[in-house]
Amino acid sequence: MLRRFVLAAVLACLTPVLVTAQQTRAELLEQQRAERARQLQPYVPSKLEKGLLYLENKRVLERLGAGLSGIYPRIGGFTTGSGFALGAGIRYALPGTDSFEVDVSGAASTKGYQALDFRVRAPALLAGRLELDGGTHWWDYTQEDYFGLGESDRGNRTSYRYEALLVNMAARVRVNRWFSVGEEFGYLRPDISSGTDTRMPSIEEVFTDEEAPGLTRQPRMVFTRTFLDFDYRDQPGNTRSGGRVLLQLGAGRDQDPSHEFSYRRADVDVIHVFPIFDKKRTFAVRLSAAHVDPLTAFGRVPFFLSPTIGGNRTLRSYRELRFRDATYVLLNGEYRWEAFAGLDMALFWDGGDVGTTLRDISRDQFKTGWGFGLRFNTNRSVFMRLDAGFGGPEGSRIFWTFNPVF
Amino acid sequence: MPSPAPLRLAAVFAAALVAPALAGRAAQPTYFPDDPIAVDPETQDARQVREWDLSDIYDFVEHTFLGPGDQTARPAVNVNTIDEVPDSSWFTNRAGSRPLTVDEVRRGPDTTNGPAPGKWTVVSGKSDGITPGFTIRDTAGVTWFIKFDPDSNPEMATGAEMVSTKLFWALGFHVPENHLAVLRRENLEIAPDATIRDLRGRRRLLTDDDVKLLLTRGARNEDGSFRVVASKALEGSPVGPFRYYGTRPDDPNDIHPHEHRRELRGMRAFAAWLNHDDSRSINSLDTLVERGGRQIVWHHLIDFGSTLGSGSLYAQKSRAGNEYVWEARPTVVTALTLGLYVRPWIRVHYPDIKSLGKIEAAFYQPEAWKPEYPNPAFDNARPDDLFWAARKVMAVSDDVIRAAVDLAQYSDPAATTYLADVIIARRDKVGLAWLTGVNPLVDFTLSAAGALTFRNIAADTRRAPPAQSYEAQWARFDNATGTATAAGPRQTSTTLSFQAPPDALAGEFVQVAVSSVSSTHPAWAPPVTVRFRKGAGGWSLVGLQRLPDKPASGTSR
Repeated sequence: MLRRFVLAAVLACLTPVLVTAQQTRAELLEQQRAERARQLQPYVPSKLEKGLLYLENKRVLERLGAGLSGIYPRIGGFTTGSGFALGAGIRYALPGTDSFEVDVSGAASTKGYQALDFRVRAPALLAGRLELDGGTHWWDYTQEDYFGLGESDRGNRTSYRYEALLVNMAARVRVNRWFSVGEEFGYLRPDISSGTDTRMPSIEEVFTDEEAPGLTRQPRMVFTRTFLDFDYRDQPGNTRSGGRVLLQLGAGRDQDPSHEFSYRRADVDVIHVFPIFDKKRTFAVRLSAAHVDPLTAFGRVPFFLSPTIGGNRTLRSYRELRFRDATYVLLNGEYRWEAFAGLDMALFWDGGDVGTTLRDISRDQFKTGWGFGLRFNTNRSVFMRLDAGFGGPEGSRIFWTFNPVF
Repeated sequence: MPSPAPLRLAAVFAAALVAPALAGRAAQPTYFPDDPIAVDPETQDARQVREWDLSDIYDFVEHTFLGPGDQTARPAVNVNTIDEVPDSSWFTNRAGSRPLTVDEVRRGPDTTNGPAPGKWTVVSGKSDGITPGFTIRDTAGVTWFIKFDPDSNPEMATGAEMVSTKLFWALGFHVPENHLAVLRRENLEIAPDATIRDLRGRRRLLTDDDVKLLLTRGARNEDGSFRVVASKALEGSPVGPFRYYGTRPDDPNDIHPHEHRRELRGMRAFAAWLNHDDSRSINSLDTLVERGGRQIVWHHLIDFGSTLGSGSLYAQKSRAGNEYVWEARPTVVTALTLGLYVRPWIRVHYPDIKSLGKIEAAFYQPEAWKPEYPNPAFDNARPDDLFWAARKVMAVSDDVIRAAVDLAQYSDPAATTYLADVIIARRDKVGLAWLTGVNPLVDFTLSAAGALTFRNIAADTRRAPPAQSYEAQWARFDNATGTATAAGPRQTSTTLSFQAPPDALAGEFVQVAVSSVSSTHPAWAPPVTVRFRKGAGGWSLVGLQRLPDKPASGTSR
């Protein structure tokens, strides 16, 4: 056994003598290649590479973002404070058409919120000048917060359940690259009931119908909304320069003969982003305001349709839906700086107030707060945001969301 | 006393250790008769190579966080005995090896004048990837890939593609045949079996709407047509991209680890010159081609849309070339200082020329230049690799550069002038950075009478003042044993020549090690060691070593 081993070892050692006795450099290289030819093997990617390759070839990431057809996961998309929401949807081209797509999706959140949506959309009719979007939407928000109208006490926190069916159709005409006008009309059938949050009383245990208009009877509403949209942002999903002015005028008509809850509403939202240092640093400001009026002298505005501030996109040092009334004014300012290509950081200041009319809004009453945030982004969109709000009298808040603040 | 069995084992191991040393000494001279080889003989048939698909995301993750490839500091492995790269399936010596005429560079790899006149038949659409486009077949049956400019920057990506294609060709790489062309919607027809990948990655028939949608992404000319680059399908059948490390396991000719290939290491200088920040696997393509009756893998660089000031879909980001996509230190410093620390490259001013994007030469520092993420071949580049590359860059003349830029056909003459000036200025900076980093002596010749002459390329190209003096040590060289025996005293000269002592020329080989003495460039002190072989026509250069095998300081990341 040992002899055979020694013999093999010696032969193995002498093999180079035999095979490297070339006369030319070319022969030497040829020999090395001939040797390699005997050891060829197919490329075997690692499991990680295989997995990532699958994601790329199946275009999973692109389908997550946007697309024309196919199953996709639905992440978030509920009202603020709904908890982490996850679901699924499917988009496909409407049979027999080139420009229309159908989108059906459903989702549920950790707080028991649920939603089902059926949309038919034509994003680029008339060479991209006309967009149509309509559908039927059902939701069940099980524990929305209500603190009362106006200067409410945070100790009065209650919850209510907001279930609704909405049928709508919207059209947007793009006049040019930065200006569009549109109209929406629809039908809303809301249903308010006891909230499911066991940490606090349900709305009807604390508030009367006087204090929470629409608590006893929820109107069936037909509504319209007209909007003018001046949008000159460089990237709507991750704006680094430019801005947007969105003006909206709307009205809702209570289908009850009393028209008790008929209303009209005006919204204005102005955003501008000032870039410096090649857009690696930006100062973003936002002014937002809304006012809603009953259409009749003795009419009221349902509390669940009133303008509201508080939460991850408005006042980040207050709870979601913290303040409601017929009017709100909101100011936001952010200084953002790019840490690296995939992450922006931000310092922000928020201030806002609600009142019955614009005259009730005063700087002295402003609810303010500040904070900092992380925005994980691509060139085109913020896909995850972490904001921590401080400075208000009601403690600090942390928000984890999947959209930009503005 | 050891037992007999361990003794026998010891004898076996001793034999195992000694035999290869003996074998190497007995079988291999330092120089073979055919040294230095001009062509790397790729003699194995590679028809068994199968197409592979590499993950772009994995490539980023692997190169950014895992550091693939052999990172030991060692000389390039595919150079010949005079430190040059032989022609191969990877590289063909052009600039720096022979004079390149303007016409030659204008023609580059071209074999046609572009797509044949007549209708273009769309055979597939490309909706994914960095740049959307089409694949078309012209009336001559030739397949072309059509690429557009972004709407925000007309002429930018197509211009960059044209200029960089010609210059990378001049440097020696295998590149596609690219032509500027005009696409008119009415000149397109869709082949009945034309396909496009849907969002699920599945192929489906291409429709007229798909074509319309793809056209919305391109910059239009005033008359509604599109300026495009038509890129001719490469010769052979595609088998996927190459990597900048390792070897392809199913290619019998691929014996040199890519991170140790001279032309890929030196590409760091080429990429820095032309701001090819996207110099990664995804922008390469191997094809199986017929050569000498066998199939071999031919390696190409493709897609130069993200070079110079172009980022393909937008003007190049100011980070490109200055910082990897992910770098911990500047990220942390920026984060912790609330953005008050501003990376220097952010403050760089670029002229507002839409057709060029963002390119400049004033802030540019070749040594500090970086691609999108670490490249193992670039990281392994030693000063001798970069010297080799810088010589090639400096060999591209002003006229050739201006001719290449002319091919971009920018409608703004100021853009043409500016870009050519920037490329020339960046070229000169490449020379300054890397021609001076090692002893820059080149073009050694030895006359029959023993007169040695050479050039100082750094001085010749005015990248550095000449050395104060040069020192030479002659030796007789034994090719069989690889040993050198000093001949004559150490010589000093203030000119670029030495006379060999008679006893140095007695044998078949002679060696001379020449140092440059420069107070401004101490890196020139290590000698360039050259060896000559006596032949019928006199002495011919057979060996050159610019750096020792293990330099004092490595170039690992």
